[in-house]
Amino acid sequence: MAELQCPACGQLNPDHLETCQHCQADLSALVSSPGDMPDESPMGMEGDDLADWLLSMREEEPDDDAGDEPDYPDEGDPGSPSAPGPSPSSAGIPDWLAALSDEVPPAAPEQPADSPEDDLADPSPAEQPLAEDPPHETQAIPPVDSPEGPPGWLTDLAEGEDSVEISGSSMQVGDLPDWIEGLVSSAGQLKAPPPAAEPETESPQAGADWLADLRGDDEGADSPDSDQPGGEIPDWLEGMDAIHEEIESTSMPAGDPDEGDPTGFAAEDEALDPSVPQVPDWISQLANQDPDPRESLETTDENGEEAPDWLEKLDSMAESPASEPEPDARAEETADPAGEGPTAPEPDGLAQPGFGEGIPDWLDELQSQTPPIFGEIQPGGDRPGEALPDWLQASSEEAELAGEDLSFEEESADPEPSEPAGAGEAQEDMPDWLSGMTLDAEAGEFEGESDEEEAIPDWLAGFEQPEVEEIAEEPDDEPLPDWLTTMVPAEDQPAGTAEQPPASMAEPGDFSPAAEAAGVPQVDEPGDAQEEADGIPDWLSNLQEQVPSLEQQEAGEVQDWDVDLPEGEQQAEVDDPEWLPAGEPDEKRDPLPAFSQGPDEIAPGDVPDWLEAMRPEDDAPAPVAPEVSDAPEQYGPLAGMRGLLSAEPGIGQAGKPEAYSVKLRISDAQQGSMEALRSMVEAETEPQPAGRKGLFSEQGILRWIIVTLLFLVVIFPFFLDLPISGLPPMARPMGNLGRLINDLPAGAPALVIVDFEPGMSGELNAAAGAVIDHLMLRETPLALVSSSPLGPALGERLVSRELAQHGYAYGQDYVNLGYIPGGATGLQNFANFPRASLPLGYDGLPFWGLLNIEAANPWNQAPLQNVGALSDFGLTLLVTDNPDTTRSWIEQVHPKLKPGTFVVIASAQAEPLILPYYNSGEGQVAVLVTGVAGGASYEAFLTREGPGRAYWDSLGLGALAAIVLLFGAGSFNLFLYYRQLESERKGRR
Amino acid sequence: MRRLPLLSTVVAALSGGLALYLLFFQIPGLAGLRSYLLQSAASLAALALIVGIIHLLTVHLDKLIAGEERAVYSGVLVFALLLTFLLAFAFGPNFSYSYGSDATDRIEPANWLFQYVQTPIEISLMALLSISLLYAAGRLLRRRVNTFSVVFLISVVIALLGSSLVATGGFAGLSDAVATVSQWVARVPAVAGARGIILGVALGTIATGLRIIMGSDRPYGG
Repeated sequence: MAELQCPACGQLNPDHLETCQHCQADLSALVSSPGDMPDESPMGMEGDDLADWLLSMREEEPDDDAGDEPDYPDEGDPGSPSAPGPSPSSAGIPDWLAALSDEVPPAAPEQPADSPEDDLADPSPAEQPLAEDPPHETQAIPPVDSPEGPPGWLTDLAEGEDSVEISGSSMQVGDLPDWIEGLVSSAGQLKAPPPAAEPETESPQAGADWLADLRGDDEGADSPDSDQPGGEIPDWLEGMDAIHEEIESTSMPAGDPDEGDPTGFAAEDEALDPSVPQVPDWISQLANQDPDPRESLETTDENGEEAPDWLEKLDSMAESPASEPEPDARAEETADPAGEGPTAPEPDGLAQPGFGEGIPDWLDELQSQTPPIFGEIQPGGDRPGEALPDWLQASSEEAELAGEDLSFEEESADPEPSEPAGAGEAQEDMPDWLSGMTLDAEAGEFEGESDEEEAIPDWLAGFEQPEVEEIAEEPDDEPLPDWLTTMVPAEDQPAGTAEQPPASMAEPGDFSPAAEAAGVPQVDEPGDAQEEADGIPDWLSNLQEQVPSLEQQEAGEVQDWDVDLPEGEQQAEVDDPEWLPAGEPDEKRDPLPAFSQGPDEIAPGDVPDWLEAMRPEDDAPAPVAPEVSDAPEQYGPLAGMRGLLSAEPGIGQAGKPEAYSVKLRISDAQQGSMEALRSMVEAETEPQPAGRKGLFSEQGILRWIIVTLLFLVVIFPFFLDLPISGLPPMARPMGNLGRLINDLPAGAPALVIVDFEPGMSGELNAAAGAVIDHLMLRETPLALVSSSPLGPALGERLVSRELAQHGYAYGQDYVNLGYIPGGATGLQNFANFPRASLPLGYDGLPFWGLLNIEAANPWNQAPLQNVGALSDFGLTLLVTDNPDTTRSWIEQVHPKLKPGTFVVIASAQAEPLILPYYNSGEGQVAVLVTGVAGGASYEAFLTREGPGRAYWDSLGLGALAAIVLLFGAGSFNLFLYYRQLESERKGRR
Repeated sequence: MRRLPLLSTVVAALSGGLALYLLFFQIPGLAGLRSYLLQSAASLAALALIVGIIHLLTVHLDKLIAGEERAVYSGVLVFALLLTFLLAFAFGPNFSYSYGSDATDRIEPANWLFQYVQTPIEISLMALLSISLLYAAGRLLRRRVNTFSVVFLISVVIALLGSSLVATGGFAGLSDAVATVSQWVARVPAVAGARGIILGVALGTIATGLRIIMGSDRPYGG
């Protein structure tokens, strides 16, 4: 038996021991990955050593049955398959099995280079860059066997993979089935047709099938298709396969064992029935434990706050019959040549607290692919931020109290139940992974840490140990990025530290499993980091960038439970968060430079196809860049400003507004009424042609009667020349007017305002004739003026025609000032500025006579030479037929007149409206002479014959005739009216 | 153009306000301004009259040129207008042409047209009006017989009686009674109504003036 030298204490130990019997240092690493040969592949072990190792393992099978420790395989058994790692992850295949797998490719030359076997036998990244040449594993991996062929035991192993699995399980009951079964199934893939999946394809399905593969490994074990060429499978594996077949034949009922269960999962369960006498005890334990993972998961779910997705998927997978063999998925899972697939190597990172919150679904699914490792990380904690302490506590408690209740993860990951309470209190209080991290942080002080490592419970050490080796034997083409390495739960790290090879293994750049478990970057130089970064896709980089912030947020929680740590370690924790690789230089912790400096780095704009396919379709239209107009704003409060954002395009182009009809909805009846009203209105504005009525029509006769009667009555007095009636009664005393005229100073002009229309000249000439005649009798200079356009002509006619007997001459006895335009305004102007307002007179000069302004100016004439204002007139006589004009004269001119000199000769029709001014106490109108009666009265006062008296008889007779006609016509029409009413009444009856 | 109404309002308000102020307060220095404002208004009114005459001429000329159905009347109007304008403007309104040695052997063309054409026409219209009013009053009771119609007719009869021979004739007591009633109707009810109208007109004039001064009312447009 060979001896192994402990790298820690330097003592020699039997090669079957996995831990140093002196210092309890882990020796399995020496077996699986010699610490003095970090650059060598795990498969670099000599075939003899491996054979011995496996031989010893097989030799110890009877001794390492599960009967003694059914749940926790003996960690101290160096030959135990637990040493390679209980993780069912394909990436966690121990090197010795990887070496076995490496034997397979020769048997399947048509197998792609990225076959699972290649992954398993992938050399370390140091030997082979990840991204550059992924499928070179087979080339880089030196054949384990000599050129002459694999040894017989390997052939047996290849032929009887089931046996391998079973034998392995016998040595590592709790966890062996998963990873070894996966291995077996992977080996089975060699015989199966090449997987259709692309090696680089990292679809979520591929990742999701990873777990199915784990389960399907069992199927593969049972599948008859898993036969491989016997030349590539070791004999012992073939023997194991035979054993498994024997189990199946014994446990399964008659008939095809795969019938109705294509996956063979149930068949395997039945084959693992412990009641079968042919089955070894460890197989029975395995059979009993097969459902345990699911049960433990369920238990975990119950204990945990909520189950993560991957646990739920795992649970669902457990519940659903494994009826879907997924060779492709397995192939994909195992055929990740570049190591950039989201497969097994990432679970640690995925299990990082808070990680699941920011990752896509596919990554969650990927997360579900790592039950062993992930389960180790969070056996009971579902909530990332809170899980770590809890699961550790739960893990420890379960380990201490009821080993049978341990979860599948713990069982599979913790093959060291032999010393559940052997650790000190300090070590119990301190999370293992944290302690491991602390140890890793002090990788260079590995030896010094050994004391503390001793304090770690054995079960925890075993819990970690296989993981370390598993990681160590992971395909090297899938190195964990820094950020994922930092996410590796600390529980992996204690084991790593416990089994930590000499410090050289933990050094940066070391690709040993311990280094990986410790989270040490796989590169110790920028170049190496770049190489590693080359194999990392963008999405991993993005996730990597997210990790620090997420974990920094939870730093407080970590510190909460971190208080229990010893001071030194606590200080280390304070300095370095648990998620950071302990002892790692800062520049190496930061994964960003490594990812960003690689020459083969994926261009930022190059999105991988698989990621592009996952990219959510953006159906929404591309956002329109806002338009900025340099033109100044025209309207609104921002008017005048430039560079304003215009309105969002489309707002102003919303389309043509809907046209709303303004047509009024009316009914036909309303339409008819409207037309009737319209016709009536239009008829009023249109001149109606006079109807050609007959000469002797009803109205014509009546009108002719009226005309004839009135004509005769009016003209009759003129022809008879008889005084028919007496003088009218004096309504107002005319003596005042006579006295006023008689009292006029000599030479004082009188202003005669002729402000009536020619149609009223008959009445007003008769009324004013007597007064003007009186003035002419007094030889009073007259100044004619008018506010009516025809007034000057009427005044001129009155003086020169009606009273021509007086011989008044223009310019000497009278002047005609003409027309005062502007209504009341003109009167105001005339009242204030008489000379200026009327510079030209109605004097009869031709237009060329106006050239002599002085001669044409009436104010320069004799009657007005002494007049500068209206008050200079001795008498103002207003002859009008319009009460409004009278009011204007009274209001505008009267104040400028000499008081008590304003006399109004008005038409009879205007008398009622002028009478108030006459009756007022202020004497606005001194004398009021109205109509023919007034003229006749004043003529009587003057005892002169005039038109007043002549008209008065005609007027009296005509009025009487009108009254008669009015009574006669009224009575007749009233009769007709009542007759019409009577006819209507009769018609109604 | 948009500011024209504002300018008009300002001018009107200032002119009216200033004229009103100068009416109540005689300020020697501003007497010329008041005169200027008033003369401007009178001149504008005269100009408006001329503009109206021109407009009347153009309208009827258009009708005459268009040859409408009743364009002959427009032709008569245009002819009379131009003739009167020519005689009055060219020779003056009192232009007299003597065709004999006697003082009466002369003719004044403008006054002749006025005296023998325009004045008889207007007097004839007034005569037709009296006959039409009488005819309408006679038919009033045939179309509508109500209180107001009866009152209207009674008022007309009383007014006519006051000017008729009944009131001035020698009908003893009847004449005095008719005269008294006629004068009472003309002095009491009619004057009462007239005073109300005058007061209303005065108040309306004041209000209109203030509105124009304040710019609330813009009869000049805008």
